[in-house]
Amino acid sequence: MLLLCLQAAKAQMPDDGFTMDKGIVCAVLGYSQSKWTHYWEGTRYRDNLNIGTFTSKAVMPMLAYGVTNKLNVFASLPYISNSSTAGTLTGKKGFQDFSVDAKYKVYSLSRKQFTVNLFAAGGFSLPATKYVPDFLPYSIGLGSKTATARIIAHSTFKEHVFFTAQAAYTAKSNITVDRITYYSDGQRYTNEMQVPNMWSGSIKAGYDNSRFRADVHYMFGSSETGSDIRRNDMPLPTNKMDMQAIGINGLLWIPRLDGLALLASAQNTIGGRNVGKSFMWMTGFQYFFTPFKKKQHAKA
Amino acid sequence: MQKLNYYILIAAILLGFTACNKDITERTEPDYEPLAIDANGGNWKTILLSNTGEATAVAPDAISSAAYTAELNEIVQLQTNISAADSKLINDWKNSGVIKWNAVARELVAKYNLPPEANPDGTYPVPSAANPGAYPLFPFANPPYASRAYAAWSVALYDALASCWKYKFQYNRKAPAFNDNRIKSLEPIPADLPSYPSEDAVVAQIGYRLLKQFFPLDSVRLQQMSNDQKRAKKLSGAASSSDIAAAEAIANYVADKVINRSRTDGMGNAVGNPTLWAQLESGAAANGTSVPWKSLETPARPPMLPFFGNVRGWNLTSTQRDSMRPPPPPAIGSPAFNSALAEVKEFAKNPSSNTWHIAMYWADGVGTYTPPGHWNEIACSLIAQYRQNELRAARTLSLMNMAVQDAGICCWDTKSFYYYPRPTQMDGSIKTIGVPNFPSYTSGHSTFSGAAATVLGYIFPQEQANMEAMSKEASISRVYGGIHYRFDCDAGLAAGKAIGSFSVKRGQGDGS
Repeated sequence: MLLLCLQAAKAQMPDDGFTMDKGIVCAVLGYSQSKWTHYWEGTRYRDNLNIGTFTSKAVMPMLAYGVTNKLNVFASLPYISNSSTAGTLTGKKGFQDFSVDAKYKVYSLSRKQFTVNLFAAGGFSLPATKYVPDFLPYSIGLGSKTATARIIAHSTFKEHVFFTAQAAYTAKSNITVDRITYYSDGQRYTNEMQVPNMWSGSIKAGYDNSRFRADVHYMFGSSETGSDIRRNDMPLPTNKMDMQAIGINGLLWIPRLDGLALLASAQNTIGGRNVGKSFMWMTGFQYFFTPFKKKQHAKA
Repeated sequence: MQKLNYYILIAAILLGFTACNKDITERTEPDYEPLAIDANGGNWKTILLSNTGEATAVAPDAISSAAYTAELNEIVQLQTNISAADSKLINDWKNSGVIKWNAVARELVAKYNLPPEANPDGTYPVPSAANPGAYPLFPFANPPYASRAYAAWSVALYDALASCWKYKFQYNRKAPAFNDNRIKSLEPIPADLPSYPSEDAVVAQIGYRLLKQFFPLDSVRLQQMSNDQKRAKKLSGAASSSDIAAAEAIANYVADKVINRSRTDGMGNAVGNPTLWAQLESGAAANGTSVPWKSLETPARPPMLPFFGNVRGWNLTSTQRDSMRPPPPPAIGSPAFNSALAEVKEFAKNPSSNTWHIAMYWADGVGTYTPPGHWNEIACSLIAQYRQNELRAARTLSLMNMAVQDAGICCWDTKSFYYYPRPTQMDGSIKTIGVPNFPSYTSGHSTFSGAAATVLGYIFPQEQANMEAMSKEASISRVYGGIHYRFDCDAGLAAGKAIGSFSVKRGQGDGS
C-alpha cells in the first residue's frame, strides 16, 4: 500500500532530469517513514480500528554512476519494516527489491536562457530476498520482477529554475503465493497472482543553484488492471492500486564538505484506490565523489 | 559507444516487457469418464429420505410413443443447427456436474465470507435472511455456516441421485442418442446408464435449489447455470425433456425436504444475544477456565456463532456430542499451559519460511472458501482421480460434509463450553496471521480436518496416509500461525477423527 511512495521519494534519481558527469559516483543513504490511519477500500475511504496507525519505515541505500556525461546508471536496495499500532496481525520486515536503472540523455537544446533535455530511462527490479508478498498491508513488497520504461523532459530557465515532467510504464511479473486458491473478482484456483502493470508519472517545478535545490511536485501511479478490496476484506497483491500525491523535495550542499548534501522530502497522498492515505517524509545524505579521477586524467 | 549503450538499454527493457506473461494458469475442472456406473445405486441407503422410493417418478412414455417421438424430434431439431454457443455449453457441462457445482458452492462461500464491519456505535450488524441485499450482505459465510451449506447441498444431492438411480434401472430407458439414430452423441454418454430420470438434471436442480437457499442474492446466476446444464444435456443427446422433468420432480421433492430440515435445525439461535454471551463468559469458571475468552477485535465483536454447537447435525445425537466433548485444557498458568504458550510465541516471533508457508497454505480465513471448502476441493480432486460417477461422487461428498458439519457443531460446543482465551489474549506480544473471533479450545481447523481426512481415508484407502498427513499439517498450521496452543490442535484433531468415524460407519452400512 505504500510502495508507490517510495519510488517518488528518490532525488537525483532515475526519474529526475539531472545528470552526473562521466566518472562521478553518487552514494545515497535515505531513511523514510510513511504513516496512514485511513485507506481506500476500493474507492471507499475508511479507517480501521484493528490496524490503528500503519507505519512503514525504510532505509534506502543507492549508488549512481556517470558512465558517460549522457548515461547514468543506478542501483538500490531498500530495507523495509512494516507494522501497525492496533490489531493482532504480525508485522513484516526485510530487504525488498534490488533495482538497476539507466538514464540516457537523448536530446538537448539550448536557446538563450532556456534549455530542454529529453531522457529515455528504464530499469529492472527483482526481489532480493524471499519476502512474503501476500500479507498486505504488512508485506514489504509485491514480490514481482519489474521492468520500467520512462521518458523524462527537463527544462531550465536562466540556469536555476527547472521544470520536469516524466511518465513511466512498469510491467510486473506474476507472483507465486503460499495459498492455492484466492478470491479476486471471482474464485481463482491457483497459487499464481497477477500483479497489475502500472502507469506512473510526475510533474515538478523547482529551483537549483550551487548551494541547494528545492522542488514541489505532483505524482500519480495507476494500475492498469486489478480488483478492488471488498468491504472489510484483506488487500491482495492483485488489487488495482492507484494513488495521487503532492510533495516537496529539498537538497542542501553542506559547505566545506565537498560533494556532501543533505536530502529531505515530504509527500502527502491526496487520492487513491486500494492504498493507504499516507503521509511520508524522508531524510538522508548523498555524497558525490570521483573515485577513478586519476586514471581518467591519465587516459585523457 | 554512447549509441551502443543506448541500444543495449532499449533492447534490455524490451526483453523485460516481453518476459512478462500476465496470464495465470488455474487448476481446471477434471476431465474423466467414470470407472463404473453402480447399477445397484438405487438400493443404497438414503440419508433423509426413508428410501429411494420415497420421491417418485412415474413410468416414462414408451420409446415408440408419440409423446417421446416428439421429444426426440426436438433434439434432432436442436442438433441440426449447433451454434458456437451451444458447443461451448456442451463442452462446459460434459464433465462431472457434481464437481462443477461444488466449485460454485466454494466460490459463493468465498464471496460471502466477510465479517460485517462495526457500526459507528461499536455494535456489529447481523446479516438478515429477510433482507439479504442490505449491508451486511446475507450470509456471512463463515466456517460453521459454510459447513452447513456444503452438507445440506451434498446430502440433498446424494438422496436425489440415489432415487434417480433407482428409477433409471427400474424403467431402463436409454439416452436419446441410443434411441434414435438421427441423434448424435455430442459428448461421451455411458451406454449402460439409462437416462430416465437424467442424473445431470438432478445435479442441476439440486444445485440451483440448495445454493439459492444458502446464497439468495445469487439466485439468478444459479438458475442460469441450472438451465444451461439441462440444455447442454438435451443438445448433446444425453437427455430428453421428460428425462429432465422426472429428474426435476425428484430433485424438488428432496430439496424441499432438506431445506425444511435446515429451516428448523436451530441455526437461527446460533448467534445468541448479549445476555447469552455474558452467560458464556461468566460460566467459563465453572468449566475450569479462570480467564474467559475476550474478543481481540476493536470494538469487541461478539463471538462467531457461539451456539452453533446446538445446531442439529447429521450423525450424532446431542448426548453423543456431549460424550465426545474433549477433556478440559490445561489450567491457565499451569506448567503445561505456560510451555504451550511459549511454543506459540516462538513460532509467531520466528517463523521459518516452511512454518509460514504451512500457516498460510491452510489459513483459509476471511474471504476464502474456509477449511470445509478446502476439504471439498481435496475431495473433488480424489473423486476425479478415482473416476467416481455422479452418484458415488455425491456419496463421497455427503459422507464427508456431514462429518465436517458435525465436527463444526462439536467443536463450537467445546469452544463455548470452556470459553478458553487465545494465546494473544494471554500475551499481547504474540502477533499472528489473524486471530479468529471465537474461543481457542479446541481448534476448528483441526476438528474439521480430522473428520474430513477420516472419511476420505475410508473412501479412498490408498490415500489414507496422505489424508492423515494433510490433516496433521492443517492442524499444526494454527500453532505456526500463532493463533492456537498445541493442545487445542491435538484435542481437535482427535475429536475430529472420532466424529468422522460416525460417517464411516454410515458409509459402511449404506449398501454401496
